[in-house]
Amino acid sequence: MSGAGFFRAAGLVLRKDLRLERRCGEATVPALLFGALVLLIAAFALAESGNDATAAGCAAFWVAVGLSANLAVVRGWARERDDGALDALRLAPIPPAAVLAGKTLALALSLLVVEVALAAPAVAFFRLPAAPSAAWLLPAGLLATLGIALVGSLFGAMTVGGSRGELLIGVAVYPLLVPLFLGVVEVSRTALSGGGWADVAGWTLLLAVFDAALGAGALWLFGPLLEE
Amino acid sequence: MQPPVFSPPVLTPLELAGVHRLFGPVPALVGIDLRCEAATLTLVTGPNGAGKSTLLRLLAGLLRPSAGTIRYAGRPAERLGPAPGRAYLGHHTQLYGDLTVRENLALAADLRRLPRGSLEPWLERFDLHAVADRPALACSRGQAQRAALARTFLGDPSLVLLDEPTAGLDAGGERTLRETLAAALRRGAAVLVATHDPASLGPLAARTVRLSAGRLVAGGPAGGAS
Repeated sequence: MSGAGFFRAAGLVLRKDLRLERRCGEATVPALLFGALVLLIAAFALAESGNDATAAGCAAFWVAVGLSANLAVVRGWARERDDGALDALRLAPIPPAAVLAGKTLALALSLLVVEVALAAPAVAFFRLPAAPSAAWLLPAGLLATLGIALVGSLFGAMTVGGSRGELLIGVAVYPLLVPLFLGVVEVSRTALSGGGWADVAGWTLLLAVFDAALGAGALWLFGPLLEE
Repeated sequence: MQPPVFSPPVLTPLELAGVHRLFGPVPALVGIDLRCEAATLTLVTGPNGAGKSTLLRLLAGLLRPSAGTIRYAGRPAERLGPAPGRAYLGHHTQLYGDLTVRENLALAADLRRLPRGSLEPWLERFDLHAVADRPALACSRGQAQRAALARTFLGDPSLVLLDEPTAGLDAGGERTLRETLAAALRRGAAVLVATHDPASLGPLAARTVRLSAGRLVAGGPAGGAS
């Protein structure tokens, strides 16, 4: 299949997931509520602890995003499991990698909604500084979101086939994402503390390399992963 | 209005040679040799657990054989990849519950690169216009099965694999299915139907094969394998 065909197929899967999400919000809404709860608990525990509030706030924000992603992944793939819908996608004359790409982008958009909604309470709870350098956080934030969505979608496919698939998300996804969380938390802390591009470029580049490696591996693994 | 006819790749004859399928240590299919020609309907019968559904999922490409080969028009299945000419409907309707019937069919048409205009004749044939804009989860079992059948036949596949397709259908639905299958056979499609109810589609069948405990225990002209 040509590159254009691949992107067309991925776009169809993305549009389908966004339409379902707009209609019932079953991935984004629970993820957002759960993320807000994690952030609130973290704020009570960390904000007044006397530690670096910026570092604590950044860590709490990304922990909240990471944990709430679990819900979004499980719900996003549950709709493929319900009534065997994934079989229809697997039988369609499109490459399996296009399914992964479409579902990854849909999940990334859901996570962006969660992140935007959680940003204001995070700033308020942890009194995060509104430094102009915060803009340097954007590339790293987008790369981290894409990475979480990519790994989540890859392993989320395993939840369709068997009853123990959900276990893999806890066991395999989070360890795999440790470098990504370290990177984005460090970039967030540095950017909000007034650091410049030179201070965050290394970590941002690392996140880009991490995403590229994950993407290549995921596109290669996804087809065999779907096979029973 | 008759559904328009498209020209998907021809996937017949379909040949299985020495096909085994294990689930862990448990054999679901053992040494299956089978050949299905174009323009023929083969009924696959057998008791629960005989391997009928596994056989159809293998032929659909949703499962890989543990051993043996499957060939479509002489080409090994693993080299074929996703093929627009292959259609399968299993025990599940494969519909997204929160999408309407029309949206489900439109998604299938888009993925198969069929024009949107190709939907209407199928909605009409399967008497789905009244529920076309209803979410699939709000449809009755029979309506959902008709929607699933309409989606299966979109694009006039050359290989049709149906697992208990009459489940949930009323008499009118069964009649529509028979007419649609007859039209597919006239077009030259190869059809395999796994069923506990051979009487319903038996008149269309050129052949009935019987599975028992994963083995092909009988095969021959329709009605000759009981």
